[in-house]
Amino acid sequence: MLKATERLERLISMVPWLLANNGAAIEELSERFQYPRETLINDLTKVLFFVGPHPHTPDNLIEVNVQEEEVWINQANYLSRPLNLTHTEAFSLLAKGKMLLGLIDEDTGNSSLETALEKLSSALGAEQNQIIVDPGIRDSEAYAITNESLSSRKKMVIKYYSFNEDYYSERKIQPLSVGINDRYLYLRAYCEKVKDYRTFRMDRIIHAESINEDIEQKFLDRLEDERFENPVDFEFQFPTDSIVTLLIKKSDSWIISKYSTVSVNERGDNMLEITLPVASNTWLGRLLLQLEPETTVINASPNINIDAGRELAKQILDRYGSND
Amino acid sequence: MAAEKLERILKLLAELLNASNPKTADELRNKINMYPENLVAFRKQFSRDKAALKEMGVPLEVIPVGPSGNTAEAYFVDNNAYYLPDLNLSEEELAQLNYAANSVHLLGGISEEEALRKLGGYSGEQVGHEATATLGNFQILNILFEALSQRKRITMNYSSKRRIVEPHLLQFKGEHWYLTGNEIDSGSTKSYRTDRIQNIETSEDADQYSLPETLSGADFNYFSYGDDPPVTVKLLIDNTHIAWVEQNLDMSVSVNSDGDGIAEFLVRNHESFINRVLLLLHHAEILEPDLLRNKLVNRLQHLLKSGEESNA
Repeated sequence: MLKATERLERLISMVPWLLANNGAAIEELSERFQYPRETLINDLTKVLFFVGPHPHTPDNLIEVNVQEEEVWINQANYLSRPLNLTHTEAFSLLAKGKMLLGLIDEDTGNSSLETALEKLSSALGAEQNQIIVDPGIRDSEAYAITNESLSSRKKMVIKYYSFNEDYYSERKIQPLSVGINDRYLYLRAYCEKVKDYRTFRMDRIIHAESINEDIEQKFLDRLEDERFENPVDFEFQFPTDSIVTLLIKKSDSWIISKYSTVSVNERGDNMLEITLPVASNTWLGRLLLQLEPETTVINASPNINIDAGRELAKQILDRYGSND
Repeated sequence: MAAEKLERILKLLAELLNASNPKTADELRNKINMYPENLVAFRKQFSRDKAALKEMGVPLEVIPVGPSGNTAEAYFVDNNAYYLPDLNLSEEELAQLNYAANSVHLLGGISEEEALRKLGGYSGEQVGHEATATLGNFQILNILFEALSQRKRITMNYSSKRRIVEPHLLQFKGEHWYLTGNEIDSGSTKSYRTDRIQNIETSEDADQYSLPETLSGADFNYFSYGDDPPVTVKLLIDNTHIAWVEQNLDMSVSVNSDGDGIAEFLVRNHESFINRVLLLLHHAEILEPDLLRNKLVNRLQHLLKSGEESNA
């Protein structure tokens, strides 16, 4: 049952369309404007019929003719155009349209969507290129397959790159939901390899395949309640027993704002002593590659490889044929 | 009752759209002739009707009229602001907008049903789920979009500084929206992450500036601007890392006959570029130019040498 204001909104959108199309079938109006049939007929014949400016004489009331499932109206010039879009409405439509354009295969294109967005933005006084949308990972096969698997509730096999460990793993997973956390999209899933829930960063799913096995309902049921426990590969997800202390140049102080630290102490000669948790040896090695070569590892938990940076450097130099 | 309310608000709208000058509440009451006689009841009902129109987006202005000291509120709808310009959308164009609205989900966003009905009809069709994205602070984006489409300057706090900006464009990248515009004080084009904008105010006046001939958003390749001699780099990327590179390093990658990736781009900040390439460890190799290839090798050799010295 529509409220009076919902009917009002539909009527002032519908009248211009009805005038421009020189009448329409009741059924089409009902569908196009989400107006329940009986309410629509009632509002056309018992409300709109009596509307007009003062003095409400027949010559200035809206003329409504309903015949054999069709309707025509006249004398509604002041409602001949719809109410303008709000900036919120226009922006939301433009953003969605731009996102869709970014996902469409460039070869096939979609000129109708492009022209629609052009018309829409110019109606608001804007230019279409004032909204830029980069779909990012959404424009990938892995994302499309994930979406498809989620909607068809089918399991997937993925090849996943673990950035912190620098290795690939193949896993059969039961995809449950896609979420967004800061700059990244994540897939929450039940991983059959580790027999537990895992969170996968979408851009690290190198290959995805949907397989013809249904997701088990019990995992979907639990999704409602469970929090994202046991996440893997979230940025800044560090074990608490792996700590390293580095002596870094002040020019490398950017790491203080990028990573959580246990302590930071000023030393002489423009140096900082910084203690921070370590996600993995590869993670530490990568960090050391980014820092000035003079960086020194002062102290480290027993499980930390203090040569992680140099070992990675050797591997890279091997590739360049320069490890002599 | 609902039908009566509907008829009354429609008549109110008809009067306002037909009026060439502001009308007081009493004038509107007399013309519409559907409000209660009792003054208190009339005011309540009239107030609710005005609220209903405003909620739909009707640009209802309140204008003081009458002699000084005895002014009354009068109501006016500027037809230019009320009416949607003629978009002349084809059925196919409308269908595409409907598809976009139904297939892309903006979390925290709004429904476009009303907007699409204004444009000629909402399909409500259940379609495949193409994408989901966060919208961020919708209120800020709304203010910014209104400002950029009407060429209004904004004043905002950003990075602990009050800035006046002429908004050029809004850009969605890496799950965030960015504003690019001309910052008045510095006279330069800058980009700002919209979720970090605070205390924003929009100028009242429209058309305060012109857009530049070419609009371009923020460049997220930090190595593409800097003071180093510009060089064109050719990077070989293992096929296992192509997707990661495309998403994280914002590089366009083509695939060679071996299935590995080749990326070519202009680099103006050598160190920044080498830092990015090192994130790929041994899964990538600078093929050209020798200048950057040697810089990377020298840096790693320096790292090994430093380690030997400190061990000694």
